[in-house]
Amino acid sequence: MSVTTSLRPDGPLITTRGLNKTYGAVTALADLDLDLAPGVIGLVGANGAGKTTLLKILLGLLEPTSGNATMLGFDAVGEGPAIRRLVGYMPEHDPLPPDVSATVFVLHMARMSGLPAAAARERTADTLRHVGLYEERYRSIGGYSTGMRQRVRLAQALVHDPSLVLLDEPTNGLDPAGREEMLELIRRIGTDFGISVLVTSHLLGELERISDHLVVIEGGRLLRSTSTASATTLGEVVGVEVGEDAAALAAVLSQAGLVVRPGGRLGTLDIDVPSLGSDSDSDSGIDSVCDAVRDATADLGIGLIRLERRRHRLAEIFADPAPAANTTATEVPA
Amino acid sequence: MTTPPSAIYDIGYRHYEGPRLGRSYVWATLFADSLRGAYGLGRSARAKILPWLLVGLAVVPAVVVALITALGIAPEPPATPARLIINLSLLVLVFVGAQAPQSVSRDLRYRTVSLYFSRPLRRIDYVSSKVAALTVAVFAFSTLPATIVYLGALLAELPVRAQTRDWLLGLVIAAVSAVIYAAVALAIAAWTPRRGIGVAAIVTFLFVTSTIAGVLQQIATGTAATERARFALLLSPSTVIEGLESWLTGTATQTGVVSVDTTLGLGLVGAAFLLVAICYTVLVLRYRKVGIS
Repeated sequence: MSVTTSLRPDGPLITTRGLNKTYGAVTALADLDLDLAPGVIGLVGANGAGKTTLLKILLGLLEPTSGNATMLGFDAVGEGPAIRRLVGYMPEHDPLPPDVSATVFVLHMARMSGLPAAAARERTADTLRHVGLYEERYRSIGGYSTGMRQRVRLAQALVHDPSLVLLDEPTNGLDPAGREEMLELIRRIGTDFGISVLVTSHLLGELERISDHLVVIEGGRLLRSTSTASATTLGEVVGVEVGEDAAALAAVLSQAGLVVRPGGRLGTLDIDVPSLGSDSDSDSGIDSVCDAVRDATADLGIGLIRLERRRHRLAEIFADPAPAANTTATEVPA
Repeated sequence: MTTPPSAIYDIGYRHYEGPRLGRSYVWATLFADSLRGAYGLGRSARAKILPWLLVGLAVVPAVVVALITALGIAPEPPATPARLIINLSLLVLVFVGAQAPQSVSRDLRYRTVSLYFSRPLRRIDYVSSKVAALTVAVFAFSTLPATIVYLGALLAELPVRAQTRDWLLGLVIAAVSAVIYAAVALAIAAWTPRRGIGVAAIVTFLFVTSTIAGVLQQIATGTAATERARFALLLSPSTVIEGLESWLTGTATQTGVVSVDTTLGLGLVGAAFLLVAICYTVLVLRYRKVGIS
């Protein structure tokens, strides 16, 4: 029996209407309304915000308490098998058996998605190369590093060439370099491979760089659903830690025309990086702030303990009371 | 920053436009993988040790029986294929006890089930293909020694018709025991992600129930309840299989029951069906929830 399905349908990627999910007294999702177009979508929220619950409902693995959801034009409640045929899923936990090689495992998963043996072999080799696994793919997964295991997890989600991949916390447990590589890979899945991505993280900073659209949820509620263009206008911050005289440093920097706020701890400051227009110039903005901090500390003769570049913290977006455009419709269908 | 030599990703992504096969292909894929897994094929060398050691242990007595027959040391085979399978039931039991957890606990332990169930595979298909794969694996395990004995008898030029009949009866017993053992073992193994616990639970369950059945028979035999003691056979998977063998071949069972009459025979058939149905239902109910949370 051979079924050729039309992949890559047009129209909305994901819609939810009044989506609720409760586990007894615990509310995992509350009145969630989403309209998401194809592209790279970042789903941000703290641990327990309901990200994984949402993914499982969209996959048709979990039934919502009320409301409805569609993905790729299929109803998540009734048409789960049709959805799962077109979607790749990378769960948050590590689902890899240690006693087989990456090739054997990904090949098996390709066939479990319905690919005939020869095509499955070819796509397994291609996909493992795309995620950056080479000679090591013939060794048992048990001996892999976290980064390599993460790549295998990604490969099994991509091997059947889905229209959409759901990646649950793909950067969890990776070191900074591994994180960068994984994010770059996810960006390429969206741009070069032409596969839509729904990726979750509790770190806003890493998703806003690679996403076309950001969804922020907290406690199962939608805080924001916005294109990344508007989210990144929040701009970058330089964090400074000095041993003493943070107030004196703040005064000098403020005089220099910078926006300075006290940081999270004693002896720290947050300095907004001035926006210089197009984001390709943001490095020069950072450089000017760093130079100013260096000069000021040298002049004041105080010790500079740390100087770091970062985005606005997720907490700042959470604190932002601005409602998202589509949180207004909260009508729950009976 | 220079790109490390291991990071040559740019070979261009190609979309897959070919066919995506349906439910039966996916079922067969999982079936084949599980069947191979039961003998450690496609797995690490360590996974092959136990199944093939057990195969070796099961083949040795069969070869001995076959040689005794073929060399004319005994006029009749010391054991029929069916009886040999019953005598080797300890090995069958260890095989199924070890390989059922290897089949399902492994998926639970490493949570590979979440990858299966995020694919088109239906939960009921997961259960049925795992059950079918282990059943075939166990059937093959007991068929091999039975067939060796049969070949020995053919070499000794014993009556082909009678020997073939014995061999086919042996295959029936092999099939019955495979269906029962596989269902019971999987129904137990599906509850634990820990392979060791699964092995221990299955072997313990099968041993304890057959011991209880045996002890009850021993106690009752020779008392006023002798007639009813035979029904103790219904109490354990192993004795159900043993009783069916005795009924089908018209010989006495190992554990002292003189004969299995039609009433008891039909009772045993009913017990076998009931047992398998219960185990299958348990598995289906179990996998309705697995992999979601």
